[in-house]
Amino acid sequence: MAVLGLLGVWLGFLWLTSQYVRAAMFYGPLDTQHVPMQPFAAAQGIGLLLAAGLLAQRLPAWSGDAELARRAQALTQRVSRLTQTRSDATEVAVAELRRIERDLHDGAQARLVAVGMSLRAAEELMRSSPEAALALVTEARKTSSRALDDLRDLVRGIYPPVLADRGLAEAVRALALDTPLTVDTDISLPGEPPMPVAAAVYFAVAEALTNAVRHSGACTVEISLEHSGETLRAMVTDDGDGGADPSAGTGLAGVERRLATFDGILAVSSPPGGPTIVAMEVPCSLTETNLPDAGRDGSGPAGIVTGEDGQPAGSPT
Amino acid sequence: MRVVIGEDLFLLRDGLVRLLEAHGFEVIAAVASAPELLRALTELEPDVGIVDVRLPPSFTDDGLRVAIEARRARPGLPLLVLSQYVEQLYARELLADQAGGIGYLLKDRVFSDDAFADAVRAVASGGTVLDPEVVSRLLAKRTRSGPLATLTPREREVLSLMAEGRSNAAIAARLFVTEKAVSKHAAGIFTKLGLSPSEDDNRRVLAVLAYLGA
Repeated sequence: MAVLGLLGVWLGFLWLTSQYVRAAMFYGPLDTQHVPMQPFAAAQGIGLLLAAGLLAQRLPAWSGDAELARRAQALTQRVSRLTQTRSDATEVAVAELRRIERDLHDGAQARLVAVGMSLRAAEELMRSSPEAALALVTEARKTSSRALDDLRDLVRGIYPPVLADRGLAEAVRALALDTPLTVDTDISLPGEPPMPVAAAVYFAVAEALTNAVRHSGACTVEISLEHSGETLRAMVTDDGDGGADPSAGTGLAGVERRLATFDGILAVSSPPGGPTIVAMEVPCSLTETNLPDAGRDGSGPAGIVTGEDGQPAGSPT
Repeated sequence: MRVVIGEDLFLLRDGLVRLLEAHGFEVIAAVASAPELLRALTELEPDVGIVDVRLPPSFTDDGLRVAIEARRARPGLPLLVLSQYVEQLYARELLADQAGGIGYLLKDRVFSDDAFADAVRAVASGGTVLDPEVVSRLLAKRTRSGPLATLTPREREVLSLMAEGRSNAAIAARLFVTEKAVSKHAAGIFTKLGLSPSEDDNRRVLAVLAYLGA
C-alpha cells in the first residue's frame, strides 16, 4: 500500500513538474490537448487518496493522541451525565405521578365518596326526617365544593392554567401577584421557551418564592427573567435573613434535578444575614409560535394591547 | 334584564340558562365560542354578559380577551366572568378600565352559592364583584408601606367584603355590626386611600382597585 501511495505521489510530482516546465517554456496557457494527461491524473488521484488514507491512520500516533483522548473523555463524561439526568428525570416523573395519585386519593376522590354517602343517607331520611335530609344535602354540596378546590390545586401543580394561557412571562407575573410579599419583576422574554422548559423554570421560580415566604423572613422579592445567547436565566432575590441550606430541603434539590434534564443549572447564594439569591440557567431557544394564539399582540379580534411593561394598557400600578 | 351567556360546555350553558330564567332574567343569547360571544355582546346590547374564560377556538383565555374587547367597543358593558380558577393577573386586566360593572367568580359559586343572582344584578348595576379566593389572596399580602398599610384590620376586612361586591347592609350582617359602623369604616377607608367624596359606588370600585394594585 505504502509503495503504491508513494508511486502515485511520485507520478503526480513528475506530471506537475512537466506541466510547470512546459508553462515556463511557452509562457502560454497550458495546452492539455497535446499531453496525454488522463493516465497521469488518474494515477495521481489514486496515489493521493491512498496516501491520505495512510496519513489519517498515522496522524493520531504522530500528533493527535492527546486531542482524541480529550474528546473521548468529554464524550464519556457527557454519556455519564446524560445517564444520570435521564434516570433522575424518570424518577422525578414517577414521584410526580405518585404524588398526583395520592392527592387524588386523599382529596377529591375521598370527598366524592363522602358526597355519595351523604346523598345516600339523605335519600333514607327524606321522608322520615326532611330536616336532617336537608342538612345532609347541604353538607354534600359543601363537600363537592371542597373537592373542586382540591382538583384546582392539583391542576395548578401539574400545569398551571395561566402558563398554558399566557406563557412563561405572564405566568411568572401572576405568580408574583399571588405571593404574599412585595414582589418586583424584571422580565424580558422576546419569545416563548419550549413548554417543558417553561414549566420547569416556572416551578423553579415558584419553589424559590415559596421558600422566601416560608423561611426567609423577607419583605421584598425581586424576580428577573431574561434570555440571551441561547440561555434562559432566572433569578429570585429576597431581602430576608439568608442562611438557607439548599441541601437541607428536598424542594430546591428537586428543582435542580428537573432543570438538569435540560442541561440547566441552579445556584444558591445565601450568606447569614442575607440576601438569598437563587439563580438558574437553562440553554434553550425561544419561539414566537409556542402558544395556541400566535397573534396575541392586538392583531386578533380579541387581542389585548399591552403597555411597555407587559401590563395591559391603563392597568393600575 | 337581558343576558348574553358565553359558555362552551353544554351542561353548564344549559344550567346557567335555567338558573337565570328561574331568577327572572331574560337570556337573549347563549353561545359556545369566542367569536360568537363577541358578536352577541357588541350587537345585541345586553344588560349584562356572562362569560366563561376558557372558550374555543384556542381554549385558553379567549373569553377573557372577548370580555376586554367588548368593553373597549362598549365602555362599561357589565360583564360577569366565570372560570374554573381565578388569577389576580386576570382580575387586574378586567378592572383596568376602572369603569365598574365587572364580576370575576369561580364557576362553582354559580351552582353552590345563593348569592349568584345577586352578583349578576350587582354587576349589571355597575358594581364590582370579586371571588373570595381572589380577595383572600389579596388579604394575605404583607403590606409594609403605602396607604393600604395604614388601614386597621377591621377596615381591611370591610374592604375585602366590598371587593366581593357586598353592600354595606350585607357587610354589617356578616361582621355582626351595625350598618352605620360599616359606613364609618368605609368612610375611613376612602379617606386613607385619598378617594374624594363623590358617588359611593365609584369610590367602592376605586377602593378595590387600590387594593388590587397593592
